[in-house]
Amino acid sequence: MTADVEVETSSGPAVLTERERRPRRVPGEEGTWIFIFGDMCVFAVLFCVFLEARMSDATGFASDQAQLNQNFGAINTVLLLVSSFFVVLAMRAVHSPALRARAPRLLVGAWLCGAAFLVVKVVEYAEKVDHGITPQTSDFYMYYFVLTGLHAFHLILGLVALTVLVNLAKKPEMSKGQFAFFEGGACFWHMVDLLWLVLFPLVFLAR
Amino acid sequence: MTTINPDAATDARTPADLLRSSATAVWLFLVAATVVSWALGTDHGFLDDTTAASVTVLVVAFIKVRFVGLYFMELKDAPLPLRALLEGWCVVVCCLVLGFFLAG
Repeated sequence: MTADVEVETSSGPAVLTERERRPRRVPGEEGTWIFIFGDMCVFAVLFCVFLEARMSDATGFASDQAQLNQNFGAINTVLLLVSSFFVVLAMRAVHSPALRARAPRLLVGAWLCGAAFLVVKVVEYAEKVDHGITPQTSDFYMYYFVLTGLHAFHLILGLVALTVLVNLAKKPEMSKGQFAFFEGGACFWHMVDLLWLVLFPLVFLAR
Repeated sequence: MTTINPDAATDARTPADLLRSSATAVWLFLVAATVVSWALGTDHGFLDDTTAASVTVLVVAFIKVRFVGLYFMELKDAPLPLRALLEGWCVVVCCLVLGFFLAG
């Protein structure tokens, strides 16, 4: 971190030269980004559709939302942030000859946090169903189950991708194509985190 | 003048070196912002006006998204059109969400 600050606060021109020397590059395959931004746009539309439905029944949405357990949502946010950070560390580890062997374990850590998210989600759904709450209960709960369910589906896809990443990280060398998949898979996992960062405040917190 | 690039992990030798990057500072910010958002969005809030608290929580969410994109997905070093796509998504979707939310 000290070096970081030093670079940031060093006198201008030399820093710029250093920055400029670092080549700009696309992480993963270009196609991965079409998929990631396409997905992010689908969710953006869903955010708006949810809020548009809220406009016609703000009171109903507020009273249904009050029944949600915000702590589950907050715990899940932290789990995904920890998970994403493990992936960041794993990405750094595969770049370092001395630490490469640690990458698979870091990715397993990320996978376990993702799985824990799903466990919390199942407990949360079970609690709702126990209280007789289903997608048919109200508009709010229909959107709640669709939005969080679609996100959970992406998370399951992400867990499959992380499993592949663990196996790739175990290889002594990765081909160019394998490394591109590795980076793309990592970015997909970050997207799962990123979407939850909006979904949690939107569905659980904003009143 | 340092020549160390803290974000290049190729020189990392110890596990602690893995943590020496801007991503670590960003992660700490993300966790802190989550705790503050949770407090604002629940009864532990320190803003009496729930609308102001909700707008704050939503804006903070999109700031968090931008940081995840720039530092975790490494889009800060991506070609400008790709980076612009992320920045654009954050600005446009944040404005849309706030617009729909405040109209509701």
